Amino acid sequence: MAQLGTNSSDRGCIIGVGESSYAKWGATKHRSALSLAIEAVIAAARDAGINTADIDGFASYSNDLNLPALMQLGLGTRHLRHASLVWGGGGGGLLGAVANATAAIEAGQAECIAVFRAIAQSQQGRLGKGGTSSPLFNFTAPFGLTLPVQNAALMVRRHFHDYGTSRDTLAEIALACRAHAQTNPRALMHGRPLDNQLYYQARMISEPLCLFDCCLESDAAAAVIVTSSKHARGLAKPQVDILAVGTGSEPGWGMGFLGGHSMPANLYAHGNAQTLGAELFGKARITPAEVNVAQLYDAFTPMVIQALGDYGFVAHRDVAEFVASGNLRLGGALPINTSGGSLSEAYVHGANLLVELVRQLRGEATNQVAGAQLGFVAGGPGVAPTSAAILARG
Amino acid sequence: MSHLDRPKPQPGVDDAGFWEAIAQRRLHFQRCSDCARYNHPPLPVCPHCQGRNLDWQAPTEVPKLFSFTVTHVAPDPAFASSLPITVAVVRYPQANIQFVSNFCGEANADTIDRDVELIWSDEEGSDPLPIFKIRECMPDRGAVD
Repeated sequence: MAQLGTNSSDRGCIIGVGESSYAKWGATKHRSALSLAIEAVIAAARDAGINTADIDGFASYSNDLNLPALMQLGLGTRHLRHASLVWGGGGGGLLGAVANATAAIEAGQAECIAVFRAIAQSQQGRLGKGGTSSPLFNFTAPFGLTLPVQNAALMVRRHFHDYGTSRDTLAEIALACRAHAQTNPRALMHGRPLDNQLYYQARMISEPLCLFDCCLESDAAAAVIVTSSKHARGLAKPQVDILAVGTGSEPGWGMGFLGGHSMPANLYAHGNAQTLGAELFGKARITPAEVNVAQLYDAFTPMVIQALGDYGFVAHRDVAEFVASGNLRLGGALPINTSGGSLSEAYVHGANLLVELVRQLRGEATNQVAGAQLGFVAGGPGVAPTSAAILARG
Repeated sequence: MSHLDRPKPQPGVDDAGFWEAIAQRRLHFQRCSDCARYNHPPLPVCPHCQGRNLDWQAPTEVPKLFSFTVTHVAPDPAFASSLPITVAVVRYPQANIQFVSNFCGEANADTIDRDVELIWSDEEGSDPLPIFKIRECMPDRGAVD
């Protein structure tokens, strides 16, 4: 494995993963988001073989409402040495939370941080419905632009024009994730296979995006435990090393799709992760071609296209063919979202994607990619800041 | 619900000038008096040179349809009776800005990058909003106002 830095025993690693039960939004009216968050962290601690009392910090993102002070009480954690929330970017902050935790661990400020996300849409309101809180409301809502699905549609329409992707590309992304869910009993779409006929018959939401281009709406929580390598010694399961993790956005991007769509025209059909991708692969000293399995944020199928191109797995102009060749499926060159993703497992702002990647690199995933050593996970693209990470089997 | 119930802009300090011009049926964008570059949406400073001498001007070039989406679900209950609606991103290439708006007419893959022209949505009793349609070839037309 690549050796980074002068003191590898201080480097961050992931030692535990866990999740709450997953449910369709609204199904858990009797349980608070806090209850789901605590369940996920308890599960992650059990997976790591540690006592929740030994967690000494929390990191989250996307305006998570579950205060560290209450998590501390619910989990019996003794100390609160770290409490961070990624500033802005919604689901784009998934790995930003891991970056915050990793930085604190590597600086010696805390020893054992739970990174988590919990959503209870039944109580917090449906996320996909937009709202009046955007600073750029004036330049979008009066024209009827309020829903995240519309933003993804505007982006991918331009990608179709610039790079030759099509609804066929989107369909294959949806079908790949749904196929992976069929062998994952935890997935909310388990037992509900999807084929091209069903996809193309589905109602349009905002063209070119149909029902199956949109992620699930879930009441769910997921968590990982981050610590340093020296604290990970002697634990039951192999640690997963964080080779590189970070946040970023491109110059001039601003709020991108969640703002006034005013980002530079030559980047509009991309995400805002090109520089971030180059920095991460540079730090990890590997190339995208060496990645065995990837978890690419999939609130909408176009986001997978953005990540494939921006992170350098394939040139934007080659995405259509790469996807059409079945490369995103198990057995392909780059299997993605192997537990079903946000599209077919559950929507937890990507936290379940991170959990799945750790399982893949430990060799304990439901749809195991044989010999997986190097993995990649991308937070929500096109929002700012976005984030990503390269993980490796320890 | 009627057009009167649609989300209305809430002008703030940085974009009041934009909406004052709209009320007079003028589509003006923020322009820096120091470096002469346009910016949209408005900011308290010029994002190119951080200058604070900001003005409002109308580009004289013909804008293009940069992207669009035909939306079939109501983005707000007030749009329910008007579905489907077409949200557009209109680009002014020389000014190098993009503007979210609505598009009148049928948009498809062939209308991307076509010239568009500004019209004003004038729903009964509502404030005017700048929206766009395809600009037909008319040899005797000058620059778009």
